[in-house]
Amino acid sequence: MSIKNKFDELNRTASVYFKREEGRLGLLEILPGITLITILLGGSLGIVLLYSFLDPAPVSAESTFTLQHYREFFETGFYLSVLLDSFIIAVITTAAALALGYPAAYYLTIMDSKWKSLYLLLMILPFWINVVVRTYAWRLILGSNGLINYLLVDITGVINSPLDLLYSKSAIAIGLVHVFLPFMVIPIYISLNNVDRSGIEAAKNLGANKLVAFSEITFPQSLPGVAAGVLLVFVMSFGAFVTPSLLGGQQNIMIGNIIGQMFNELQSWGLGGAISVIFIALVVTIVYLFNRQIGLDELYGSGGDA
Amino acid sequence: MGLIRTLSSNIDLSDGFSTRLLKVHTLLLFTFLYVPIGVVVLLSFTPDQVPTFPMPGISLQWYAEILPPNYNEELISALFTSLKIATLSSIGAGVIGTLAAFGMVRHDLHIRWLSTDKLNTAFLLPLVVPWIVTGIAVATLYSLLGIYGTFWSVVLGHILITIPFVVTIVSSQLYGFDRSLEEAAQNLGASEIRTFYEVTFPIVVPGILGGMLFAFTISFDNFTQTFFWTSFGTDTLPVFIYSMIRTGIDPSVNAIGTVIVGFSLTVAVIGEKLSQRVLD
Repeated sequence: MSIKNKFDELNRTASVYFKREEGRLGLLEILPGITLITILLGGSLGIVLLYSFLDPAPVSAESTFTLQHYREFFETGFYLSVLLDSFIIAVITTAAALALGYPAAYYLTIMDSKWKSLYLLLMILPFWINVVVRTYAWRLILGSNGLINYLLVDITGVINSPLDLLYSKSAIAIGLVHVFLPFMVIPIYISLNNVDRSGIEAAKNLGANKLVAFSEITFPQSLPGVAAGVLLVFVMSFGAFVTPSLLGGQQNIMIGNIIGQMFNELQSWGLGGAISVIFIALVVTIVYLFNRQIGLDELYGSGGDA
Repeated sequence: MGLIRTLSSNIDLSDGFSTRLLKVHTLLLFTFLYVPIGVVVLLSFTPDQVPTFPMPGISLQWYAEILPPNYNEELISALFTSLKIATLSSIGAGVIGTLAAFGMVRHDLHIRWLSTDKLNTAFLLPLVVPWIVTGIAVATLYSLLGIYGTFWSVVLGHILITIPFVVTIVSSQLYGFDRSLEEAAQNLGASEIRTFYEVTFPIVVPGILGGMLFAFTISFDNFTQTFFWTSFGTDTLPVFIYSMIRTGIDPSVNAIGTVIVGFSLTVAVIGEKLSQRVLD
């Protein structure tokens, strides 16, 4: 992760910059934050884990230990197929965000400095605008009375009847790319910005053309940013909730909507807990495998404690 | 790889052409990012009951509906709930996160199982755990404790999810802090406390404010977790808008959306200016 990478790098600089102080004051300063995270996040995840093994959940006098929620998850094809759909939507979203985001991030690093800060601002601004509003906007574009159908049917007359664009998996993926694109562009931009320019010049002096210089020198050095962006966008779109619920309709839901339903409307906290546990386990496994496969540690250099 | 290498060494892109291609791509991407937002703004001025194209004219009636005297009371109450929660949680996250950043950057804890590395990871956890799971899990804990849906429980939850931003921003500023300034002050006779107030604090304050502003926006905009934490009476603005969209077509959604976009962009530009000051 890029933030972690940044921390490690800063840690290393820090040890040169100044000496750390000894003593208990540091522990005291960390205590409120760490207590909040441990109790509120750790504690609540613990309760969800507990509920996933209880029936009925939440705890009552008759509650007994059971594996039935997990059995129900694996025996009901529905949950597995939603999980698979969610995975596919997340992969497509991530791939699209990478394909769209990388060239833009690259352009930001090579462009004239006169416009650079404006372009950077334009790239980051959508991140600050409310996700519900941004997702709602796509209903006005993809809906049967939306902008695209207006352009295709009323203005150009390319087709006669409006297309069914909203309430589909593609609509979800488009909305997710729109929402999470800054999370792809920013880490890639940061790592591209750190690429050592002298290497590129040297390669060109030795006869490499632009494309070779890019693929041999620039691209490999931008991989940590790519890895960070891919991980962030994948994890966030895999667990998406508001985008599928506004753009997917009844037919196309993602695993986040199922988890939400279990806790809100259906009050099946046991099954909802089991699905949450399976989902987290899956996300952690994927992130772990991704890290091992891509060799993030090698890319980042040896991290470790500072 | 061999094939790609041969291919790429034979394609010679002129400087101008490839750069122009990248520029066109980037501008198209901006179109993709901003057209939807523009459509919301544009359709907020429609006189129609249904926000669609073509617009039969221009009208301010949907703004009239959300502004006094005939404003929607639930909307205004949601707005104030959001502002209160964002203010309180950014102060909370600002204090707790700044303390934690000082503790992590400036002290060696000498606890074997609690390295700085592990602490960094711990403080990023609220960001990394899938939001939907944080949402339902904390709601479960709250209902077990009997504080589900209360105002302060939402504030506490928002402190949890905004802490990572404050810790990251403040500690990056502390890492770049030249401590010889503090030493100089103390050599000149300043006490430790006076050094903190006159040297350390003024230098770190833009970072803390930047982090708090970030926390404010994150809290103000948060939907996924908040949706599971609020109940009737503590609904925040995003939760209110979401239920408005879900329950049917209300054309004033566009006007509300436009106001929110304007507000967010103002805060964002201030935030960028502040963080640029931090980075400089």
